[in-house]
Amino acid sequence: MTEPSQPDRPSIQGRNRRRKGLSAFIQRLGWPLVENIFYLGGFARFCWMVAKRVPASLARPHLIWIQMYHLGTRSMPIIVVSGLFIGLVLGLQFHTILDRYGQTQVVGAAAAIALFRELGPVLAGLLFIGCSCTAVTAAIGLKRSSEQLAAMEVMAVDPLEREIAPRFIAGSLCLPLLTIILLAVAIVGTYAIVVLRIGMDEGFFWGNMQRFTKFFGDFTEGMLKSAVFGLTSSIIALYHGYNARPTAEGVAHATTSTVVYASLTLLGLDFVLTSMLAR
Amino acid sequence: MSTPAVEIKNLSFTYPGRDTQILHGVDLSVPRGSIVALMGGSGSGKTTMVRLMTGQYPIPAGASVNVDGEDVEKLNLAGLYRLRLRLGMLFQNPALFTDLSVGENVAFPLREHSRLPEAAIHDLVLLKLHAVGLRSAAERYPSELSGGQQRRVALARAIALDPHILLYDEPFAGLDPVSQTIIAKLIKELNDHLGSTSIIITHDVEQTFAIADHVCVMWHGEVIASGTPAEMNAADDPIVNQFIHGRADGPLPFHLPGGDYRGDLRLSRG
Repeated sequence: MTEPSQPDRPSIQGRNRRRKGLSAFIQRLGWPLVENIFYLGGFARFCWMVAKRVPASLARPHLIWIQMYHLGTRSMPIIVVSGLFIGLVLGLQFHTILDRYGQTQVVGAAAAIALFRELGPVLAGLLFIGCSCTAVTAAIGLKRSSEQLAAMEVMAVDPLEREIAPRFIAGSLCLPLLTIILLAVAIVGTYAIVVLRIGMDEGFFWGNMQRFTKFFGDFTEGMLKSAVFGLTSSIIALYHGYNARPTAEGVAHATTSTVVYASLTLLGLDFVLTSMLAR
Repeated sequence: MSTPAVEIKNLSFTYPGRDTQILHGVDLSVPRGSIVALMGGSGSGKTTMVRLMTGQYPIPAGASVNVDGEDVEKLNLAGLYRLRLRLGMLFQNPALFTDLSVGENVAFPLREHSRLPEAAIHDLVLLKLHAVGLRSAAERYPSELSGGQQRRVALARAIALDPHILLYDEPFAGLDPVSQTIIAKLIKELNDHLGSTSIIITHDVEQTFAIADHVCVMWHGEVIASGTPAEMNAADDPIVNQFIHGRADGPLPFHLPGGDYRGDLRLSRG
């Protein structure tokens, strides 16, 4: 028999059934726990179902390419503008702080390390969630509510393979690429404020950046983080869209849930990865 | 004598996680090549039955649903997809892919399930769109079409793979009288030209009786009457009679069952 499109959920009747006294108290305590267990179980099952379809989706690269184009172009303007401002602010702040110790010649290196290791992946990830992941959730949620996914199933086309897996792969590939763009623009922003505006020596700026920033270490750790953030943000966005209630409120709630869950997961994973990589 | 296109035996069904039983031991046989209408009030279980035919929900134990010679309850996912290649379904909401043009929508099942060259797909798409009178709309997007036109595109998509069985969920709902007549004419023509079997879920008595060979009337999850349109018109059953003739007075209730009205208004004390 067909795989059910939606994960089993705790029954509404169970939640609404009136209980009194001690059993009501236990129900109030237990219900959120039951709901969260169902959420995690449903999410794990969804991840497995998508993972199984990834090889088949990789055999149809044009579907992935289309999604990469949509996801990438949607986030590109905000990534470029944000990167520029982040670079400008970082340059100013580092120059002000390092000036107290007479170390302004390492402003470029300090900014690059901060960007590569932490700010670049995290900020690009959060912007990607706000721009692209929400759009993915809304698009899939609307396809669900307008029965487009059901129509696919009835046409003997697996929506997980045709719609979900290509978006998952595209999102996972897009975030590292967007992070590289954000890093490049941010470095240009730092250069603009420190060298062109404040007047620091250009040779010191580039030379110390090259000397103190490690490709294998600073840059690769940042890229590893970015890849992990891309995987998790994309699957969270797709899960909420795929399981959105087929109403306007359901899609709105799913979009909000994507931002909340994906952002918190990203920040939590950032700490975990930083701890692991610092060893 | 050929086997029926669809044969349902003892089908009872309750949606997962809900208490209310939707279908109560339904038996139904749809002869090949015929147009069969499933009629009945909202919530009588018509759409649920079609969803069970297409395997969108698991078939409950003790029931048997045979579609185009296959027992749906015994099929795994791959088998179910093979069966669905021989089915075409028109949804109540046309369910067109809004990010694809009209032509791409019709080409979708062809691209997914055949290895035809693009030139052949292009010609087939135009043939299917011509059959529903929308050949010139191939480059437009669904949002640029009216509700009736969108339903015709969905019909062209449903017949793209020349299915053996066509399922129509409320094909006339929300359409103006001209569009309703066009859709009814198309259903009849496609059924005759493709040699397929059609099952129509509908409330529209006039349009349906003009094209259907057989009509089943459902009430509270049971088939309470079946026969030709003429037999249904002459039916004595008060529920069937009220539904077919659209009378306001009769056993079909207007109000959803509930508590005492006076009690709800707190008038009973006085």
